[in-house]
Amino acid sequence: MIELIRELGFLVYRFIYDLGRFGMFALSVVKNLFVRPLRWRRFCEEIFKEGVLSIVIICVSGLAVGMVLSLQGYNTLIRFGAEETLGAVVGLSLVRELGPVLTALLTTGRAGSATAAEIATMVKDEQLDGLRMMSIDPMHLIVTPKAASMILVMPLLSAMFICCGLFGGWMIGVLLMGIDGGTYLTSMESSMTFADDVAGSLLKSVIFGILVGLISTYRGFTATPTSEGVSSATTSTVVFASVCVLISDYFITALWGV
Amino acid sequence: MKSARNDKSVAIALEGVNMSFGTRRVMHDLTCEFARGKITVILGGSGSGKSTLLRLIGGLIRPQSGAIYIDGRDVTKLAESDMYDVRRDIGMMFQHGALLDSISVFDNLAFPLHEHTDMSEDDIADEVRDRLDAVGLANAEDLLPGQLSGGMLKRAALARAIIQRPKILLCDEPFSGLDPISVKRIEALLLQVNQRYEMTTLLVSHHVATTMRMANHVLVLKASGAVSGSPEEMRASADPLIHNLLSDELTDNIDDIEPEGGAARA
Repeated sequence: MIELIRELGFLVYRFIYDLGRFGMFALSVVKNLFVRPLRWRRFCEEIFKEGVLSIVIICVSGLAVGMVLSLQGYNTLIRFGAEETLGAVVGLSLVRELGPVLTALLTTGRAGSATAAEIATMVKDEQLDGLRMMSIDPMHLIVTPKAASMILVMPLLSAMFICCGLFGGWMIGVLLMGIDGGTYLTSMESSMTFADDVAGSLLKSVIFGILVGLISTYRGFTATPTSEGVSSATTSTVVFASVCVLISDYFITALWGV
Repeated sequence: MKSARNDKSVAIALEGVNMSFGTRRVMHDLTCEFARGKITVILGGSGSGKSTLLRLIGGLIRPQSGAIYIDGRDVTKLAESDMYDVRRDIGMMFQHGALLDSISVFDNLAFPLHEHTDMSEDDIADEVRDRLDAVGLANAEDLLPGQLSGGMLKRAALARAIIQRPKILLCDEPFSGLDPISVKRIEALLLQVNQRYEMTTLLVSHHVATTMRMANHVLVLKASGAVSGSPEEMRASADPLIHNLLSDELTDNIDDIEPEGGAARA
């Protein structure tokens, strides 16, 4: 029993310790955003790596999700004779929920894991120590541009996902199921407001971007300098970031009604 | 030690440094000093804390207690941001190079110059090519670090370590994994750098014969503390550990010698 309590105490201690370290790490990233020289070139390179290289997977996934959503929605709505509202169902689902969340999960798997692996490998190969010995702060040069670019990239990718999803839904609803195109679009337009739905979706994406950016860079930066440490950093990034995205999604929806 | 701290002939001084990793103690009350402009070779068995000592001096890790003076300034109390100023005067050649693997050898050398100087692109290119030429890598400037052989990687790491002409050069195992020709080449380069720029050079190596040829001073790390002296004094020492270490001058490898007290690998 004593052993169990001791173990629990240690776990609680580790959790609080890690949370504190993560908080300090996040503060350091924020501080380094304003330290000169601003790393614009590195920032743009990271936008390319995290954003541009993710476009294909985001667009294909968005299209597939939109198509499935439309198909399922049509089959359900037709039972109630409400198939004209298919545009609203597909639009609201994608904009309010599926777009930001699935984009965050996909980006975590593709860009977040790559970010963690890259930084962890640099830790393992002493490249970050090499930078420190050249009087270059790796937090400023490596970590901050990666974390910051994720915040910018996430809402843009989410918007792309939603657009592709809406197009996929339109294809199935209008071209395959024969719903009138005007009805489909009007239903979608009338059910959505910019302030509640589109801005809320944007807010979610930005918060998910912050979470994925910070978690992936933190896991890489604090990795054990071994091959196992690199793989552990990558795996834990995907697990932690995905869970954090889903939990925060609930709280954002519950607290702000987004 | 107070006199050593203010003594202009001493570049680096350690005073009562204690260092542990978890429950494993690597250094116990270590006190030693390193002469300015000289080559000091640090010897000791595996796990005696040789590489740890270099990382402590570079400020990459902090001791649990004690003081490390660089040019008379205690760097153990400095914030990380202040440590970056101190490191401008320190070059470090890592055991595995630690070059940035996503950029070319040329860019690796040019990088610190871009960061810390106002030199023009042409001047930077001249400086980098001068250094690459000096280490015999003139034809390798466009290669990535992953495309270099072990010897070339060491030479590139040395070139980067000295690109800003630091006052102190820390070399962690510069000869490990190299063939005899490459060892000779790196040895000649280190001697040349030391003579040309009068850098205080600290050398950690298992190649006893090579390093003893180069050394002005020798520091032997033992579980009970450090012993230092000239190469001749060390050779004449009656201490069994030192005798063991230096008897390996012939075989040129002390990998298998355990430190006193059987400390684990640092």
